[in-house]
Amino acid sequence: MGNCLNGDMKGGKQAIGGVQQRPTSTTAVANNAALNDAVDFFFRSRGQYPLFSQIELTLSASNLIDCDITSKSDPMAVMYLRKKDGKLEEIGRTEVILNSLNPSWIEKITVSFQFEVVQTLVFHVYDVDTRFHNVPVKTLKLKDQDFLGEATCVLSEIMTRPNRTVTLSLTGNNTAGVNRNLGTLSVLAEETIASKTVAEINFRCVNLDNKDLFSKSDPFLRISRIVESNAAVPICRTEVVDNNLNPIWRPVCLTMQQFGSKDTPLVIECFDFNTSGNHELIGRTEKSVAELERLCRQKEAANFVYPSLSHGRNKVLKGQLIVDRFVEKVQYSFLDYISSGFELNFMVAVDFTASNGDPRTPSSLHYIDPSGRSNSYQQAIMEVGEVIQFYDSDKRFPAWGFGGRTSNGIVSHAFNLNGASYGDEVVGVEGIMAAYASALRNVALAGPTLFSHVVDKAANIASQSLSQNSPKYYVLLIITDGVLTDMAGTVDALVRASDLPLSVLIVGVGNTDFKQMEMLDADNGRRLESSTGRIATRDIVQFVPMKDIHSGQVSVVQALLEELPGQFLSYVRSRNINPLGAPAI
Amino acid sequence: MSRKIQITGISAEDLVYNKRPVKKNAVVAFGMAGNNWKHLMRTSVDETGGDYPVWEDKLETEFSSGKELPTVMYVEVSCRSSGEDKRVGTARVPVKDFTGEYAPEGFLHCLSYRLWDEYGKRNGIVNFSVRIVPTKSDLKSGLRPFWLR
Repeated sequence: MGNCLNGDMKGGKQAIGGVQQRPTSTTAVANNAALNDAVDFFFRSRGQYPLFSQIELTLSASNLIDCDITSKSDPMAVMYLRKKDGKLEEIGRTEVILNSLNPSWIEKITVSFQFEVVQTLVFHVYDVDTRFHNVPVKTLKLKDQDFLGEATCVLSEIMTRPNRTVTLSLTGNNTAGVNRNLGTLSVLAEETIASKTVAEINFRCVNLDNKDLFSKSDPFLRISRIVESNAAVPICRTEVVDNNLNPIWRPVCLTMQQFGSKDTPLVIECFDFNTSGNHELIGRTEKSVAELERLCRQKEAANFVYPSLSHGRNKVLKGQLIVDRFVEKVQYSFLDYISSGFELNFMVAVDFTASNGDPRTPSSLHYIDPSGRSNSYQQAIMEVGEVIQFYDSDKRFPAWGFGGRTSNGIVSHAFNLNGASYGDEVVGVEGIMAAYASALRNVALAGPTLFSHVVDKAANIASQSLSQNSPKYYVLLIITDGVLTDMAGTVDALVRASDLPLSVLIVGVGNTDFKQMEMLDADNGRRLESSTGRIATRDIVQFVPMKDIHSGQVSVVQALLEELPGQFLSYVRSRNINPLGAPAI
Repeated sequence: MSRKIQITGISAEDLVYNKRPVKKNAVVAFGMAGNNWKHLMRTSVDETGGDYPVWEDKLETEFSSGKELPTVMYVEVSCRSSGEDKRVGTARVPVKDFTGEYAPEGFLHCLSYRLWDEYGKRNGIVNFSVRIVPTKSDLKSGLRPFWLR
């Protein structure tokens, strides 16, 4: 129920889950890979966006080859995920359709779409032998069936198409001579509808019981969902209102993913906040979302009950729960925007300061190993770039270096990585790698470490794109080894850019103390403040140190790109921008 | 040539008055430097918000470019109690933050500024959005830019 250590009183009283994230909100987002199911569920249901979306894939095929003699093939499709070591992990199967070379399967295969990972899907189509009909599909042994063809694609490729469909050619598994035309497989992806509806509810209470001795209660609400096993899973908690028996809380925003369905019973408990962490229960009530809507419409109130200790009747209290406002709306997800045509554009900035070490020595972070092993910089570029590439339509990336002395002898904090004077763009992740390697030969490492120039450049590009008709969101990746020299200047640049469609991802390589970077990340809720008194409109920075990642189970990519969909959504939602072609809310 | 500005007072956070969090009735006012304070634009009073008032009030004003442009806009959050407005905090907003230097005109700037009380101490944050309404001649170029919301 929140960490109620004596130190973090303010944090302990904040609302958790179900809070509408305005761009100006200070509630921190905790996106850590969870350790157990209960914690995972609790943190996963933030009102902003799910960490991953459940996608349903519908498959159909056409022009399959005929394997049976007297009738047509009886096809079934199996879907696998290709893991990092190349092995295939089965995700699901469709049903068997009898006697058809153009099947449209009804059974959908569900997969969780993780934005930050490249998910390679492999489909195998089989002809199921007659003796195996009327047997549950799951028990079929695939090696006993006739193989009809294989197709591969990447999940993000499907999600970025406008109609979310991709048609793949089936190929043979064994490379034997002639490549027969094995037909095609179509894959349609849909996000499960449940994740879009959102209910915004304003709660208020009157006549609560006083649980404190010398002052009044400090009430807050906790809303839980009852699951099949009759256990209650908490989905959100309001903030604490001090010293008030008739509290009014800020609106609570619950997604359908959190409350299940409008008729699922929810338990609403009202507690008195205690700094020790032992919050005293004032009362509870059970209402579904549909009942809460009715309470609001008919302007009724629900009485709290206090569960009795003996097995007698629960005590009905004077305290009542009132719903002042109930609004149901549709919240589009990150995928909705991307597949409707929103482009993500990627920019790179590489640290060329002397603190990296002379590139010729093997201990330098910029050392190019002749045996081909990537250094930290190359690794970071490859991993993040691989995923972002799918979303960048033209695959042309501006690439800069900072802190280096270029051939004209001047130290620049935003020089073109490709060394060209005509432009800063490179093509593809390979282009970035090539420009990086050539820059290492032509640029001398210097210093100091400043981000403000590259952030300003990125902000400039983002603001110029505003006048165009196609919506673009920019992502600046800064790979750095060290401590910032000019923290104030960097903060000023970030605050200036916080209102623009831009995110800044900072990867820290090496072993320095990255405390400054963590301040920029603002995950603790302290918004960045510039020297002119302006405060960052939203948190646009995400920082990840490589050394933490290499020791743990989370990859750089997963840590870095977790916040990106949320930052993107905070931009579009605060301006009421809908996916292209979507009806206005 | 006069331009219209649309300002929406959105909310404020962490307001403190007399060493205690503000209980209710906060209101925010916007005014250009140089004008008399009579020309202030006020939002409605938020009676229940406490130290986190939410207004969401749209205000409009005109200013003529050509004559000396005001360089600063003042944003003042006050607390209305027993008839009079008690000043809780003021923010000084450079006008160039929303007049086209960082983004094209017509862009909806969502801005947040630090509030300072009369003793010069930090006293909360105010959130508002500002937009310079593009004139008809700007819109003649045909397609309305998508992002400029």
